[in-house]
Amino acid sequence: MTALVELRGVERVYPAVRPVTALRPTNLAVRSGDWLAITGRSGSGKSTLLQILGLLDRPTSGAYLLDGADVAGLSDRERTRLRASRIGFVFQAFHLMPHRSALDNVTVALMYNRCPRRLRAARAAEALDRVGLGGRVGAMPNTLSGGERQRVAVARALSIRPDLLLADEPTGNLDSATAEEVLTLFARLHAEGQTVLMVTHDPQIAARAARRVQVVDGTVREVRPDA
Amino acid sequence: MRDLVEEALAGVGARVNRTVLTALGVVVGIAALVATLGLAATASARIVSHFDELAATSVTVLPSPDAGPQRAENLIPWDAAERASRLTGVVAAGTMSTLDLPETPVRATTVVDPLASDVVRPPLVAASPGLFDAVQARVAVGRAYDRGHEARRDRVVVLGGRLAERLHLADVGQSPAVFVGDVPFSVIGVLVSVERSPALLDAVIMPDGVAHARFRLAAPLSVVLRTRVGAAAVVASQAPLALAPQQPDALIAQRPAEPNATRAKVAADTQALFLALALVTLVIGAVGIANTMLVSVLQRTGEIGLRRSLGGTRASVAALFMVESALVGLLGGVLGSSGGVLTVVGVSYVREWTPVMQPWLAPGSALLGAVVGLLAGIYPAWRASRVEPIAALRTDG
Ligand SMILES: Nc1ncnc2c1ncn2[C@@H]1O[C@H](COP(=O)(O)OP(=O)(O)OP(=O)(O)O)[C@@H](O)[C@H]1O
Ligand SMILES: [Mg+2]
Repeated sequence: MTALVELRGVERVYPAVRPVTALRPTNLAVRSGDWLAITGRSGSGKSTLLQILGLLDRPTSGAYLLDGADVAGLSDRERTRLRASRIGFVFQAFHLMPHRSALDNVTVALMYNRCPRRLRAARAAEALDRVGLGGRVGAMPNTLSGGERQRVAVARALSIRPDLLLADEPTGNLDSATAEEVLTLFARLHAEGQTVLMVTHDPQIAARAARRVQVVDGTVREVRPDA
Repeated sequence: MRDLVEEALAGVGARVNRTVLTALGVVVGIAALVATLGLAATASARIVSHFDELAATSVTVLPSPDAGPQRAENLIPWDAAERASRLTGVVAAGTMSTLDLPETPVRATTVVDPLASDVVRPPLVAASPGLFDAVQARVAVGRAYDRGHEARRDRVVVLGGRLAERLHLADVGQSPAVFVGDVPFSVIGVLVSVERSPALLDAVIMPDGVAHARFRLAAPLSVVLRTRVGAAAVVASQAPLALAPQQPDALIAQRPAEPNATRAKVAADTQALFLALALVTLVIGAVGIANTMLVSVLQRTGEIGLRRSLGGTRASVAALFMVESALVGLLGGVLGSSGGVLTVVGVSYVREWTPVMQPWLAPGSALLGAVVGLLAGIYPAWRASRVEPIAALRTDG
């Protein structure tokens, strides 16, 4: 079985007077259905790795195979289209639009996904239902708790039925009880077959994932469960 | 496209107060534009309608220039005014004859200043009492003469207002005298305004009978008719026969000519000034919108980054801000256009004019507001499209 995602010798150097190598040549394969936790110290290159995987950033060198096709050299427009159709992001800061209802925040993703208008509301409601917010579709973000907001963000990412769900510190702004809500949700999604890649600096949270990789100074290492 | 407009509406609607404030410059600019153009249209329509009213209600009957000098002499009978009054549609009628005595001096006796030239040579006009009503003259002081004066051949005159001023005869309370040639007349009235024959303001006007007896007026030289609205054409066709049954072809019935355009030109000059001001205000309004949109782009980098991560292209982000900006402009255009229309209606109400506006003015200027907004949005939209999603998503919010 071929990997859903495969990095071959991917490197990312931020150009500057003294260039910063955020990611050293990396090989990484993620199969469909994996739940992967990416850990590492601050500044180690976790976000850089996730942004490359999410087609927000382009590797300086190396190949990125998505479903076996190299997407590293695609144009900005082509990568944008792939993001709209195949990738769902969840951010530490939620990034909900404050003046729009939970439902509207989700339908925006479906709009960029080119989902037909008449289907959007139903699919957004379905996604909110999946994250346990079926009763709060009309709620405005400022009336929701932190955990609920992050679940709206997860629903937004899920609504387009992405091949890859990418979460950068999804629990970073949440207390441990609320973080647990989100982790339980991820565990369920993983059980339903959703591929999840999650960045966290918290080892306990990382322990919940099926598979762990650690980034140390831009070098990515697999962590054995027994280690 | 519909998605884009809906997203933009949501973006604009989320910040109603700011949107309205931002649109203010455009509101004022568009309002000034609509008010200026609307009032100009209203004023020129007024000039036209004033003229139309005159044209529709004025008829002057004269001897035809083709008729020989002999025949012209006694064409119009002395009772022409009464005869014409009997025609259906005639509201008022009077004879009017400018006496052919150009060198006759007129002197006032009450001159105080001995150095002032107290001798003028105004036109002398003989008129039946009905003429004052027929030309819609207003007597400010004293009164007009009537049939009684006419019948008694009283030596009375009515002076045009401008002439009275030149003769320093503002007060006719003591019936001052003027000498026309050697003949003394008492001034019984002064005209302040003459709607249809402004030349009378400079004239000495005396009854037909006196003119006949003293200045050898053989017969009236013209008959001025005021008719009901729309009746002028019919009256004009019937009047010659009614006045000169034996030789109707020797008379012609005239309608007034087009007024000259000086007044319209003066209006156009002030109008140009106001239009320039309106355009300057619009430019200021555009700068205001551009500024607010630019601030909005900076405040919403997080949202821009999110939209890009969700698969929004640079172009779609730019389009979103363009449309938002255009909507702000459109709002300003609609408000300003309404304000402008209200101004025109209000001014017309106060002045008792009929408000007239080109049908495209209100919707067109509202759209102009949208265009201004669109132009103002170009630079902010370009900035929005340059936002790097990675950097934007690092920010909180
Ligand atoms: N745009 C950039 N230009 C230059 N250097 C950058 C840029 N973005 C990131 N870096 C550097 O790259 C390295 C990796 O950054 P990255 O954000 O991937 O770290 P991280 O592991 O996500 O850290 P954190 O846990 O604090 O989020 C850091 O040293 C950072 O300073
Ligand atoms: Mg990070």
